[in-house]
Amino acid sequence: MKVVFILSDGTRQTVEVEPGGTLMEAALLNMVPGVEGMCGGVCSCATCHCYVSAPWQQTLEGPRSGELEMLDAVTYRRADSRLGCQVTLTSSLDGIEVMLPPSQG
Amino acid sequence: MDSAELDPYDHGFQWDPYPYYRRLREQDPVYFNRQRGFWLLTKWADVHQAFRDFKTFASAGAVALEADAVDKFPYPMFISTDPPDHSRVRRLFAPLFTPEKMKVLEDYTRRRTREFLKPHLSSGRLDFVGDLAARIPMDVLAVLLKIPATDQDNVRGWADDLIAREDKQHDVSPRNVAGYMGLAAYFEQHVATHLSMSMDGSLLGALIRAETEAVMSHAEVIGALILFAIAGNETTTKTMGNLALRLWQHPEQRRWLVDDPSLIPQAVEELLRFDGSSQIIVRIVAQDIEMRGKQLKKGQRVGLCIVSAGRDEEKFPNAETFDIRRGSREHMAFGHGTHACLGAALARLEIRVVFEEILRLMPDYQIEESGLQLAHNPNVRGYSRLPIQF
Ligand code: HEM
Ligand code: FES
Repeated sequence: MKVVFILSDGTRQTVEVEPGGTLMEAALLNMVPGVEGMCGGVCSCATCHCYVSAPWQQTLEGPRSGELEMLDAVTYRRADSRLGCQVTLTSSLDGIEVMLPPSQG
Repeated sequence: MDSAELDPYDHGFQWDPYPYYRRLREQDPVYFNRQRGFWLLTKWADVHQAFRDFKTFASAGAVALEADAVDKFPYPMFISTDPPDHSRVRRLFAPLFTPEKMKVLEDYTRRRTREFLKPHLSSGRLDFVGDLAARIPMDVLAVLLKIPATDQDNVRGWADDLIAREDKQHDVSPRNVAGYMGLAAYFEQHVATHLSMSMDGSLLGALIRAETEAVMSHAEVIGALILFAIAGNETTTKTMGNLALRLWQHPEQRRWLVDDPSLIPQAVEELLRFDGSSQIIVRIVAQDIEMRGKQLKKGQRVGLCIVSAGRDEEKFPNAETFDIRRGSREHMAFGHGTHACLGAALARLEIRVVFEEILRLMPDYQIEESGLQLAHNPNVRGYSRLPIQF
């Protein structure tokens, strides 16, 4: 399946991954700049912060309390903020577009 | 720098490796140890690059700096695998190790800490490591893995044997192999007796389900259990010991924590940056690469010196100063990215709870310096004995 990362400068990077992983993992496996994924997906660093636009959000499970707590601390919080490591990629998300904040943390 | 100067397996070096690391950062940041044939990366940016670029800096086969260590160990551990194998296993466990999931262990950790401390309170002295720091991680891990109390000393003993190093020991010793085999035999039995357990969302349950559903092979499951037993014990114990030492060396900062325990998590982060227990993480060069003008060749071993990265002035101003107000989480004491420590949230919780209790019960503890004993392993640095009076 395909995942499109849109960097804060508008650059698009499309990566090909197997379903079953997370958005963070898809970025790290392809060394997408702008996704650090420092803690490797244990919901402890918020350096996998990204924006998932409303139409895609609707097909996802909402964030759990641990994710929301971490999101409270990020610099560029928006209504469509998610932690990439908490979003699991199913085949129904093929082609999902994800925007990245200007910087992580 | 002359390669003869640095031997990470030398006990003398391990007492205080930081001046060596500083000289390497300043004079030879991508350093090749000719004698032993490995590279050492000591700058934050280089270590970070190596963690990110897993296709160039591979984990498969990279258990230790010494060559061929892997061959002696027949159960594959996911810490030394690369994607996609690694991702398949990592996905099973990452959701079980979030701070939210670890929270349920907080009350238990606190109760056990109090129980371990209680018999010593009247005497006014204890071995911070032997009596407490070495016990808590195993005790808490035992909950996750359903290891009965009566077996814990054995499991910890084997784990200690597996990672122990004699002075300048470079190869895997019979003691190391015996520790490994002890753990392997124990976990073979452990899995067999729990095969039909009800699936309760525990870590052991997840491991057994992975085997029954053929997501992991039996050997991978045993390897993962061995990995949890060694990764979660020694590192956490030694980090606690290092924090006890640094707070004693900085009584003013210790006072801040006594007055305001909500600062303890920040102190834990600063300790991890300044004196984390895990010193060097090993990778193998999977394709030739040039770094700072040096040619790293396919097949060579690379040590990612994460404690040196934590003291890199280019990343952290006044890096050689311990200051709990800094509280930066950009250290790589837990690694970074795909292989970053699964137990980071658990370790943070354990260390915080232990120090909340210590600083409440014995805020002015003193360390008997003459009684300090350093444990010996080039990858995990810290004390095996740390006597205190209070
Ligand atoms: C302060 C204590 C700890 C420190 C300093 C520490 C350090 C590390 C580091 C640096 C890595 C990365 C290895 C690499 O990139 O190759 C790692 C991985 C790992 N740690 Fe920890 N650790 C600690 C506590 C724990 C605990 C409590 C557990 C288990 C309950 C644990 C389980 C693991 C596992 C399973 C991995 C392998 C992850 C993977 O390869 O995907 N660690 N740890
Ligand atoms: S990778 Fe750390 S919170 Fe997502």
